[in-house]
Amino acid sequence: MKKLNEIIKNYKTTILSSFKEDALVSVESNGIPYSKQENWKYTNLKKFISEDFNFLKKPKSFSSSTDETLFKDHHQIVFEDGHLNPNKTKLPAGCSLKEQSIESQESNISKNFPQDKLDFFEGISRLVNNNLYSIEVDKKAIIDNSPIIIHHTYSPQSEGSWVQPIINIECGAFSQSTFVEIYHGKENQIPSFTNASTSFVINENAIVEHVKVQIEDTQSIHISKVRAKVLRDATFHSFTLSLGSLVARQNILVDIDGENSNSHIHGFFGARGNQHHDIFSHINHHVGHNESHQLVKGILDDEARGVFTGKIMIHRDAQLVDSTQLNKNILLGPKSHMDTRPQLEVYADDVKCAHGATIGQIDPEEIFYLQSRGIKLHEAQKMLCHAFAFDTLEKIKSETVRESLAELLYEKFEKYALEHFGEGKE
Amino acid sequence: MLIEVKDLHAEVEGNEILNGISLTVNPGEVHAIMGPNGSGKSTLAKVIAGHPAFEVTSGEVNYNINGKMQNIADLEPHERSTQGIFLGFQYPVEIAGVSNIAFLRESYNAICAKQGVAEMDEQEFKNYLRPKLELLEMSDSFLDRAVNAGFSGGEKKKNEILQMTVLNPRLSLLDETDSGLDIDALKIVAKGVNALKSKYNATVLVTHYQRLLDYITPDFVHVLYQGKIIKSGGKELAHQLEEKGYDWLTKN
Ligand SMILES: Nc1ncnc2c1ncn2[C@@H]1O[C@H](COP(=O)(O)OP(=O)(O)OP(=O)(O)O)[C@@H](O)[C@H]1O
Ligand SMILES: [Mg+2]
Repeated sequence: MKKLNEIIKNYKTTILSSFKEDALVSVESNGIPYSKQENWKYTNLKKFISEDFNFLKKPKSFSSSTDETLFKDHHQIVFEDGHLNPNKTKLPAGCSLKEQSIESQESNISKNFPQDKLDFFEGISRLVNNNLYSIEVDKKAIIDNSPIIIHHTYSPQSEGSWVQPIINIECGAFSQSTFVEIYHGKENQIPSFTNASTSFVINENAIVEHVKVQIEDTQSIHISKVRAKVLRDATFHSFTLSLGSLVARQNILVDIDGENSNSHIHGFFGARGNQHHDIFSHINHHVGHNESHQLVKGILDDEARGVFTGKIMIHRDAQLVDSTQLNKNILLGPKSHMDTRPQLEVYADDVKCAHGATIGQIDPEEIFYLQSRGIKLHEAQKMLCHAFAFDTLEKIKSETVRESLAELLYEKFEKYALEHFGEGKE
Repeated sequence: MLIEVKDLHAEVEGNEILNGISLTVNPGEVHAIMGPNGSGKSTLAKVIAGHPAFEVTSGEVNYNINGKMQNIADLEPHERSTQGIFLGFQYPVEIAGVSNIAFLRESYNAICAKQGVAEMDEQEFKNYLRPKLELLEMSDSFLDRAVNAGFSGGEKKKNEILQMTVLNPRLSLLDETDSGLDIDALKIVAKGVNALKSKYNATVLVTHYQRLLDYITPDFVHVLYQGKIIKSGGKELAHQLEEKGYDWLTKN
C-alpha cells in the first residue's frame, strides 16, 4: 500500500473522470481538518497528521489483543485492509453482496444522500477507491444469525497506509437484520489510518440494527462515517462502541425521510492514556410524525479527551417529531477532558424535544448509598462506573451481541480503567 | 448500650449543623426524633452512618462492637454498615444500570463476608428474599428493575425497608421512612420494622408525624432544634407536639 501523499501526486498527473476530479478538488481545497473548521473545533487532526500524512503523535503505549473467538458463531463478512476476502466470507440466506465500481454508484449515492457534502475524507475515499461493496437484504427477509462485518487491518507495509472500505447496505421493505461491524487492528506497531464509510438505506417497515465496534490498536487513526436514510415505518437502531485508536472520529449522519419511523442512535466511548475520541452525530428530520432518540455516554481516564457533537435538525415541515438526546460523561483522570455540544435546530412549530448533557464525576451520593449498604468504596466506584456504561449497552436489541460487547468493554477498558479504583484513585 | 452520641458537633462547608447532640440508645429500644425542617435530623443520621460530606468537629459517637463501646470516627461507611448500622434514607437515590437484586445480593454478601458466613448464590438469595417481599407486599418485578429507578416515592421507602430486612441491622436509623406513604403502605412498613424488632436491636425513627408512632411505639421521643436536642420525653411528647407544634419549645 502506498502512502496517501504519493497517491494524490499520482492522481494529479493523470487524466481523471469528473467524479474523481471532484474528489481531488475537495481533498485539496479542504485539506486536513483542523480546529478552525466548525465541525472539527475540538479535534485538531493537524496535531496528529502532518501535511505529508505522517503521524505526529505516539500513543502512551498500551495494547491488548482481541479475542478472535468472539462472534465466531456468526456469519462473517471479512475485510482485510479494506478489501473483501471472499474465501472467509459467508452470508446468511436473504442477503447478498456485490462489488461494484464506485462510479457506477455515483447517482445512487447522490440520490440517497443529497445533503452529504464532499469533505476531505469522503474525497480521499472516492479518489482512492475504484470499487465499493453493496450488501442487499431481500424484501421481507428475516435474518436471525446477524452477520458480523470484520475489518482487519493486517499489514500496512509502511507507516501511514490508508484502509478505506466503502459499504452500502440496502435493507428491503419489511426485512429485519442486525449488522455488527468490528474494526480491529493487529498489534503491528505500525500506525495506520482507517477512513471507513458504511451507509444504510432502510426501506418501508424494515428494522435494522447496526452495532459498530471500534477496537483498533492505539497506534491508529480511525475516521468513519455511518449514514442512514430511514424511510416510512422503518426502524433504525445504531450503536457505536468506541474503545480503540489513538484518535477516533466517528460521524453518524441520519436522514429521516419517513413518517412513523424510529431512529435510535446510541453509543459509548471509553478512552484512556492519551486517546482522543470524537463522536459527531447529525440527525436530520426532513419529514414529521417520527421519533429519534439518542443516548451517548463516555468515560475518560488518564489524560484522554472526548468530544460529542449532537446536531438535531428538525426541518420546517417536520411536524410532530419526538426527539430526545442525552450525553453524559464521567471524567476519571485528573487530566481527562470532555467537550460536548448538543445543537438543536428546530424550524417546525409542533415538536417535542428534550436534550441535555452532563460532565462530571461519579455521583458521591450514589457512592455513599452503596457504601451504607456494606459495599467498599472502590467496589462502589467500580459498580457505578460499570453501571454507567452498561446502561448504554442495554439499548442494544440483540442479546448475544449485547453480551459480547459487555465482554469487550471489560477486556478493552474496564479491566484497566476501573482497576485504578483499587489503587486509591478517587 | 448500643450507641452513645456524646456532645456531637458537625459541620458542612464551614456551617455548624449539629451543635452538641447527646443521645444514648440501648438494645431493644425505639427512639423517635422529631423537629422542624432543617433542624439537623437527617444530618445526625448521616453522620452516624459516616457520610463524608460532614465533618465531626468535636464530640464522639461510640458504638457497641463485640460487647465493647468503640469510637467509630475512623470507620468507613461500609464498615459501619457491616457492623450493623443501617440508614434508611429520606431521599433514596436512583442508580441506573444496577439491578435491585444484584445490589441487594452484593450488599448481603458484603455482610456475609464480614461475618465469615458463606455467600448465597442467586437462587438461594431469591429464596431468602421471597418471604421478605411478601411481608412488604412487593412484587418480584422490583428485583429486576434498576435500584429505585422510576420507583414511586412510597415504593422507594418500601425498598429501603426491604434492604433493612435483608441486612438485619442492630441499629436502624429510619429517616422519614413514613413520609409519602399512604395509610396501607404505612401499616406495611410498620409491620416490616416491627418484624425485625428484638431485644438485641434498636430503631431510631426520624419523623414529622405522630401517625407512624401509632404503629411503632417509641420508648423515647426527642425534639431536635437548631442542631440540639431541646427536649426528650416518652411517647406522650409526640402527642403534645402534634397538638401544639414546636413554638412552645423553641420560644423561650
Ligand atoms: N451538604 C450540605 N451543604 C450545606 N448545607 C447543608 C448540607 N446538608 C444539610 N445542610 C443544612 O443543614 C441543615 C439541616 O439539614 P437536615 O437535612 O439535617 O435537616 P432535617 O432536620 O432533616 O430537615 P427535614 O425535616 O426538612 O428533612 C439545613 O439547614 C440544611 O440546609
Ligand atoms: Mg431530613
